[in-house]
Amino acid sequence: MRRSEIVAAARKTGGGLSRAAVRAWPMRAKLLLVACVGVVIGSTAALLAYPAIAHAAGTCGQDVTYNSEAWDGGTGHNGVRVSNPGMYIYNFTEGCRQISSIGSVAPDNDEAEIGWLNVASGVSNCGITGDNTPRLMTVYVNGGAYTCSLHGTLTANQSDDFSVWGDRSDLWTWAHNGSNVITHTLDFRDSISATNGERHSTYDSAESLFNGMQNGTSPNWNAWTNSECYGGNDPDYTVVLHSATDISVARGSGC
Amino acid sequence: MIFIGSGHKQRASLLVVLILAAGVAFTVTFVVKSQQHVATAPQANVIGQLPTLARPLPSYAKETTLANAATALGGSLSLPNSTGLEASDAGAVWSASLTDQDSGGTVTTVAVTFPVQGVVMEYTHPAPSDGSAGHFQAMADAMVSPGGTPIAQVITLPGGVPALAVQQDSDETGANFGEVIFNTGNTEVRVMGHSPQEMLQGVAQAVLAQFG
Repeated sequence: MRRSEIVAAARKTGGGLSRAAVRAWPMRAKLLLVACVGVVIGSTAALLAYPAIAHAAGTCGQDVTYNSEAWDGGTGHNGVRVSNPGMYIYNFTEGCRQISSIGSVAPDNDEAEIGWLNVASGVSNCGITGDNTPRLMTVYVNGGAYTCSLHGTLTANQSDDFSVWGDRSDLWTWAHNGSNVITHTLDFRDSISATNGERHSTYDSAESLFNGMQNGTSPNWNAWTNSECYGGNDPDYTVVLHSATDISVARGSGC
Repeated sequence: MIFIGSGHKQRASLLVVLILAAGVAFTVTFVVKSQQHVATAPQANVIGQLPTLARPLPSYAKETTLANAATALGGSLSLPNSTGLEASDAGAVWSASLTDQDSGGTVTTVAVTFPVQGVVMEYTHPAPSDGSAGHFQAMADAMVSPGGTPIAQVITLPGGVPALAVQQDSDETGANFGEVIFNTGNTEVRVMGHSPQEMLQGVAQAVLAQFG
């Protein structure tokens, strides 16, 4: 339909938009008007609904990782463990991903880390496309190169035993509930011990619970005698030090 | 002209067009909006952060001077002086030390940055390994790309010194430093940078020559 026909139709009806006038418009003009109204409604609805839908669908927002970390003050160790009861496994609906982990970080920034990772549905991370299920995660940085691996799903809403330690030949072992998961040769042994509550977007939870922190190397583990905040950049979550061995990450004030 | 007919048919047609237009607009707007976001989570899941030129060592490292760094290492600190990388180019210097709870021994890593060349020299004393080809091979066995191909290999520097060569941008982040790692005396040296392996190995050879 040409524009002149629409203008003519509008003039014919006096240019008004009364029901009678609109009824007199040609069918094509009505279709065009309805289509325009539909576009406005659809695009407005998309803009208004986007945050909630994106949350449910899994998007990662800005490429920023938020960490809330604690350590035992900076003494060198050869491994770290959380046991009895252990690290709590949450199962929140994530927007991108959530991690609770413990790890050993060497002075040269290589590290060994173990914990759980919950990747939102449809989001790719650590070699999988997520389905909002917590999974056993191992991470190491070896010669500056990063490797992340997943080792099956975990049962949520309970605390499990996680540990990682190195021997005199720099052979590191990652273990879960007393079973060895992987072993690899890294390039360090002396390292700090740390806890990590991590999330990727502000749609995620960072809630974490580490109860029963230990240092050492299997089978000789010693309870942490001190706990301090190690680092963090999360605008909403902070580390809460309940005792030397009991640490959480929660919304609100902490350190 | 399927739309010409009774008033009832016309209203139905208009309703269909309205729904279709709204649906298409919703979908297009949502797709365009979502392209502003990241569908994957590319950052590494690590405690702290991976090494960068600005911050090569972990959070517990402190910025220091070359003189203090050499003292912390318990001896001299041999910087490269050839291959386009000279000591006078050195920028920020970082140092991280740990005292082992059980052994009482202290291990120190010093990182000297060369901002112009984008290179970091790291020295760890005492060396965390014997620096043998066997140790580096065991490390290399644990280092593969997301596709499963090796990203590190054992090489031999002049004088028969074994070293580990790590390809840059080859790990899961796609952004790791290239590295050449070797021992000299009881110190481990890492030459790190987003540079060709030939350049990193040239720097390693220069350092090795200066250590004598």
